[in-house]
Amino acid sequence: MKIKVNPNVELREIEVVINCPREDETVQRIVATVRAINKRLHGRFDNESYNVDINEVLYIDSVDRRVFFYTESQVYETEKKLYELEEYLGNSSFFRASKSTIINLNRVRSLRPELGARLLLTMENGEKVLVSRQYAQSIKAVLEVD
Amino acid sequence: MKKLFIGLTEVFSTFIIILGIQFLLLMIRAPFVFPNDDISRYEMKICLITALVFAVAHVFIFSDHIAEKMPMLRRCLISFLPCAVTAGHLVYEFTSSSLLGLRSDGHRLYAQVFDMYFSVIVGAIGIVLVFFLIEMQFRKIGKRYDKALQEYKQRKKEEGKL
Repeated sequence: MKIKVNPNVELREIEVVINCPREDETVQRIVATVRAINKRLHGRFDNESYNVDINEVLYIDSVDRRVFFYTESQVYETEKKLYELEEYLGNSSFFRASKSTIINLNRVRSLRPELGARLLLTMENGEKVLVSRQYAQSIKAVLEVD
Repeated sequence: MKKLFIGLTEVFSTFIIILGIQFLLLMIRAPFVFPNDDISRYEMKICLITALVFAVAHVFIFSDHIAEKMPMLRRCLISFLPCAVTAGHLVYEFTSSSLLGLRSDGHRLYAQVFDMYFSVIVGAIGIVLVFFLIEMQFRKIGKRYDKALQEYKQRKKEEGKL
């Protein structure tokens, strides 16, 4: 695979063009990775707005119809609904853990089974997140276990 | 309120299942224990109470809402004592007496007390053994999952380098 970078001061934003013989799985993975680069979540903390890189987000949680996303040190509130975030974060390492939680699998430190065919995830900040029976199977499929 | 309703529904459905199994076992046992009589009200009462204890313990251990707030070990430890006593009582009433023959003489109080202690210990050992086996199995699976997680992260990293 050849990679060329052509700097052009006349361009207003970065333009990525992929030249390929056919659109195969590798090309789709490149597209998904490039799309994920600029993905950020808009949230509020202490009456101030922040744009947080999705790779910093550990998990997203919905409590009493309010949606929060958690980084290692902060908790931000977002105006978006959980299903909107799920759509937005598709093709990345975010997966549903329960009806009210989306987790970033890249920021999981360890996982172990729980009674009742569930999974217990330990995030990188030490917090524990429970994956319900309904969604445990899809996470196992992503990890290619069972 | 909704969570309470879900919890009560879970307790009720588990209670019915456990009670059903106990009654089934009681029916199988009845011709041998009560050849000329109906099943006693006392035995039915035992089934109802033990089914209720096991149902509450089951929901306490398996419920999502409690699992989010309390680690598995603590949930198991809390439900251990009532489960051990209940299991011991079941052992005392339905098995150990026939195994040891200690209750053949109903007036021998010391034999009954010994039988009861023995039953509770057997019940407790049984429950500890089950918890131990589950924990060992979960640790083994957990290691496999962790390995798969590292492989997943590696794959993602390589995709990022493309």
